[in-house]
Amino acid sequence: MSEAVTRPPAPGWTPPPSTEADGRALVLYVDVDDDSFTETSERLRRAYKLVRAQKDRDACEAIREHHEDLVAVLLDVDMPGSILDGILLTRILRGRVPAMGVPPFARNLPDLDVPIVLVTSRAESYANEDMRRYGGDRLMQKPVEIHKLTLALADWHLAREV
Amino acid sequence: MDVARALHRRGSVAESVALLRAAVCRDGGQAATRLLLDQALAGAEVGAPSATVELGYGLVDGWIRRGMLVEALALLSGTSLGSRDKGREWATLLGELLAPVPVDAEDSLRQAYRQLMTGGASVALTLLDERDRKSPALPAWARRRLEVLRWLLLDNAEVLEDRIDSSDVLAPSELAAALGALKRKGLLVGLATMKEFAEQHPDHGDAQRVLDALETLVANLEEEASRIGSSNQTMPMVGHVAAMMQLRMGNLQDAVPMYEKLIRTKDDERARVLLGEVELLLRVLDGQPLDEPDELAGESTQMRQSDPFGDEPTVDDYPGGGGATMEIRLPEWPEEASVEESGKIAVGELSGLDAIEGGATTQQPSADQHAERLVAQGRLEEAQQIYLGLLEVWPDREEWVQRAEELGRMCAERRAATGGVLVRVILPVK
Repeated sequence: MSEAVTRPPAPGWTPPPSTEADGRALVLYVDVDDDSFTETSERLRRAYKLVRAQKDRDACEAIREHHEDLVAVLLDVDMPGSILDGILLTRILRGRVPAMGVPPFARNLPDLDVPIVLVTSRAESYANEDMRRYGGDRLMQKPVEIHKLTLALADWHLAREV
Repeated sequence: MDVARALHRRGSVAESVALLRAAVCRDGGQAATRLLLDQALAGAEVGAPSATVELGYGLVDGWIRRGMLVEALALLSGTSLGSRDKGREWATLLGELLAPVPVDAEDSLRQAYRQLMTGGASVALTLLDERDRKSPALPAWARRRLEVLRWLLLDNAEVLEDRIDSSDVLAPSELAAALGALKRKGLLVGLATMKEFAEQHPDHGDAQRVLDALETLVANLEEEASRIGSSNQTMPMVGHVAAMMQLRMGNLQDAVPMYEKLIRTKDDERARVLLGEVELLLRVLDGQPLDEPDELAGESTQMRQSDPFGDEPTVDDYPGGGGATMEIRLPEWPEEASVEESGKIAVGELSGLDAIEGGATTQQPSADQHAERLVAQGRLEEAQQIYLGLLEVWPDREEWVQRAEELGRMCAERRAATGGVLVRVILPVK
């Protein structure tokens, strides 16, 4: 088939304003950068509702509050202004840090059986393999694109089917 | 596998893995694909593609139409296709469609999501369609996914059909080509298309006669619809009602035996008139002269009258007729339209033509109709896969069992006829 693929116009849609019960899948986004959050939120809003945390403490509180509803966690790799960076928080969430090495506010977090995606504006500086070694599932460039995130989550789900 | 290798070679390793994993989930029997996936996951080389692979929109489009949505998304994400033009639009829509459902989503929506992820897009469409007819109403995000899925699978299929069926090469005449819309899209679209044709060709002698025939049939359609809409009784799908349903969908050939039976058993004058119009349209589509020669017409009429026990098919022979009678249940449940497991159509507060246009099985094309479109395009294996997928969810649907078996036989016959080489043959829409 040639490149000349034609389709009628796609159905347009403006997602409804966020409400407590609008039903979109809930994603925790941890990043102190407002612009990054705004842009990512805009790109994902068709299918995801973002809960934002700015720093490590907020992130742990949000996880305690929303862990049953989350379908993914997006963590900034650097997390400036926090004690924990994204990589260390990932390791804690995956149970790979001994209790004595975990700061009090991050102890006894609920088990999170969802993908953890590490996000950064310098994706070229890190390797996906390193992220996996720390317990992350994917590394992504900021701002996160909806199709990239969905493919990562789809692959995570399918990995459980194979 | 070649596409996965090509993606891997471009450095899109995660996308390559996702593509392979989706292929394995869709068809677990592919040992070579599983092996390649294991290699990719282990960080080993997966080798070079065995042939020059064109990573283009055509490939993405073909995969989407075949329900390989995760694979299509992987291809868009792993190349620059997903970041420009329509590729970006498709990537965004697939990103939306394949996003996880909320954790508290109801079972039917979870099931639809699982089908979407594992190559059962058509089954997912049917699940969502059926759920959409029930209450409470679908949540906004699920309704939106239904729209997107319908657009991805069906609107595109219509475009493909247009490309195939409206070809001047296939149609025996210009008039037949214009009338082709009737067979593809039903009586009402056929009438609109023919009106347009008649306006553009005011000197075309036969166009007005064809237009008159279509208007007669549509008037009958409206009359029947009005009768159904004003009745409180369950109407069996026989006689004029059944013939009308076939005409509405553009199945002219299937309406013929129904009218013939009405003429034979009830000497129904209205059926005789309508049959005459239907046969006129069939002659136009076949490229034959518009008017039936007198001697043939006489012979034909005589044969019908003198051969009451002839072996032509009756309504009972028609799929969905006779023993498997489909019924239209009229406003017993006024608040909504739904389809019951038994295959009965429940029509809510619909009246007149809307009772037919808004009928539960015809308002929106669903998976079995999608499968039949694939059959019309000669894609028998894909159509059979859709029926098999539907049967996984609704194993009791006898008509789908029969159709899947029939398609299996057709595939085998085609393979045998071509010495094992698969060819695509355009078949009439069932």
